[in-house]
Amino acid sequence: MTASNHRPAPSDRLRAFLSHAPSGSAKALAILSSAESLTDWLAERLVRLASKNGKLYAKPFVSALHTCGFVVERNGEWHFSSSERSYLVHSLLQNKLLYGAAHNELLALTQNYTQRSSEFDLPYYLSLPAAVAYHSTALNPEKSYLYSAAYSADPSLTWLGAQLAKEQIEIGLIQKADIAASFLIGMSQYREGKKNDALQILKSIAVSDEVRLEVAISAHLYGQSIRHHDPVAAIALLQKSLVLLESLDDRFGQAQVMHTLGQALWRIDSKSAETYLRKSVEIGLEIGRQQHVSDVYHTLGQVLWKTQKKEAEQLLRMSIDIDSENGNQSGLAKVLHTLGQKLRSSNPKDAEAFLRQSLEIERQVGSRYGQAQVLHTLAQHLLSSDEREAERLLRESLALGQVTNNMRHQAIVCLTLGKLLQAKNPVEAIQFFKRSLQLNQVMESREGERLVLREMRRLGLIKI
Amino acid sequence: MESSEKGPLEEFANVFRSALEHQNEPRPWRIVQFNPDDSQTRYFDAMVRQIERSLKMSAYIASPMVLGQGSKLGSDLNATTISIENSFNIEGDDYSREVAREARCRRIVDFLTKMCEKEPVCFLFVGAGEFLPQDLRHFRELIWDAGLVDFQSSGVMVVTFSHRALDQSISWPSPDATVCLADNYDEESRQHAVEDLANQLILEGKYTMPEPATAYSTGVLDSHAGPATLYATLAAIASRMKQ
Repeated sequence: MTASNHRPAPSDRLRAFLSHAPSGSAKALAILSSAESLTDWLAERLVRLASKNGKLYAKPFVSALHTCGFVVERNGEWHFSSSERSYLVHSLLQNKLLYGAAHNELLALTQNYTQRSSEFDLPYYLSLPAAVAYHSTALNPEKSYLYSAAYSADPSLTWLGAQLAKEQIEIGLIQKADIAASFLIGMSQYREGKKNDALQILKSIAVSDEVRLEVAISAHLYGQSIRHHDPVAAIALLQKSLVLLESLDDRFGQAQVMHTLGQALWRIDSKSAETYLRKSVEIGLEIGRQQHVSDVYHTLGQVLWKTQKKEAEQLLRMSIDIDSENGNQSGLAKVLHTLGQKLRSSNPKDAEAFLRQSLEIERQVGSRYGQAQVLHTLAQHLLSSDEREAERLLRESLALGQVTNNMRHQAIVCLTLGKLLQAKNPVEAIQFFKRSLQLNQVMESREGERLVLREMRRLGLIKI
Repeated sequence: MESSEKGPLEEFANVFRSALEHQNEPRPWRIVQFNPDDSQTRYFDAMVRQIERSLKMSAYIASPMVLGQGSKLGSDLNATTISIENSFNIEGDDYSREVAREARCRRIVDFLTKMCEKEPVCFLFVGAGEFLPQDLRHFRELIWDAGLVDFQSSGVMVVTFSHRALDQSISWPSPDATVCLADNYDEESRQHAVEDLANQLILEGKYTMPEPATAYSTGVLDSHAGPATLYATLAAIASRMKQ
């Protein structure tokens, strides 16, 4: 066990506390940092452990801590503020005997948590796999693989595991490249929308040769993220993910990667793409993942529309049936939107009905982005038959794009509004074109810029 | 409540919480505290579970919604771990989850509106600027606007403590009061602190006469520029006195 060289300095308030506190307080505070969070019962138990032969009385010491600013109350539990915790964790590392005793004690409390918590007042985190991983790794860094069990569909649990893993990386207990630990950190960032940071971590995991679920998921997510600008590398990663999932006998994972592979391959090798998508459906049906089957039907319906329209329409309708049956309103709205778009020229009446139905569901679900998209499509559909209604819908769509701060959507709607208004209100039309141009420039979308400029040139609004 | 990065925000939050819990007889406040450094209150769904726990509400059992063979969602949302095996679909906006969440929040709001007249409730957001905007937005839309707003002057209070400005896109209702905490004492606040400390010492029986209590308090205050180190010092002194 080697502590990181970078040792934080104590904060002013910690220094103030320690300079007036009774003897043994520094050791007592240090041992308390071994727990992620504390109850008074646990804190007193740890303080007693730290002052076995000393004269520090645990109860009044812990009671007084509650008036310090560096103790943050939870709801029946408490923890140290991050800067003080960081200092205390490093302090505890200097006292190997105390460090070992503390983590041993806490690891023991994670065992039979339910039974123990009815007898003692234990903090909730001790019931979680992240606590087992944290205290086991503290005692033996080779046990960092236990962090794999801290990954959960519940983002709170993944986040907690990620925080604890991050701390142990910072103090040099485990390697930054440790797969289980870095995967938790990456997935936690991914879920919080910090995609660029997350993908950097997932990319480094994806290249590992280890046959692990973390590597398969990272290869899938990173491959998916680069499929537009580097399809060849993306496909290689997705195929790697698939091979790993086959080794791990993870059927649902395979079905999901095949879905992504089908999408990524479509423009390169449509035959293979179709095979992957159909195989993905097959596995989904075998393992009873109806939602997955519906999602792939939706993709297949979109990609087959040009070549096999009849089957494509049937697949989209099957997707609608599954979503209706399962009450998946959000999925239903999206497939209705697709079917409405696809039927616009061949069956305008049905197309309008599907789009209005989709809009109604998006409204019920409260998806402002979904509403904005469907409003735009519906407006485009009505341009030739009811210009006034189309304009109204476009303005509503634009307003929703503003509320959700979706610049790409606003740029597209402004362009459509510009085109619509150029004859009856050229001044406003130019304003919309300019706004669309500005938005594309802010987003650095050269393609979007070109589209707007081409339209302005076509209408004679600019010369060059 | 706002302060600079070095301001005494946590100290004030602790004192404020303690005052609400202990100095409002016969109607002490029930406190639910949210903190982004606490996995049990970092995200909105976790906040909801914490509210149920703090208010001692019975377990919430949603009607099961079958999503596929052998797969149920929403049947036991009170479980501490919801395990969806090897799921990659982490971005899916699951309608059934949204519906269950709304129903669960409605239940909390109904419970609170009945309870708050007898027992007032305060939601404390400590480190409010560090929460993800969508989680605060959910709180605003599904808890506050869904019914609690009508009780803001009769038993429900939201207090935010933040070292930095809150995300404006959440459009919180205008606060009844905003307090900016200074890092250090000025002459007037220093005098108030001396008086408060002297009164406390007399109350706890450390001194019987005001003069020596004030002299001691002045001495303590003289060596502290602001409340942050003062509170730490006082806590240390208290722990020593009780040994």
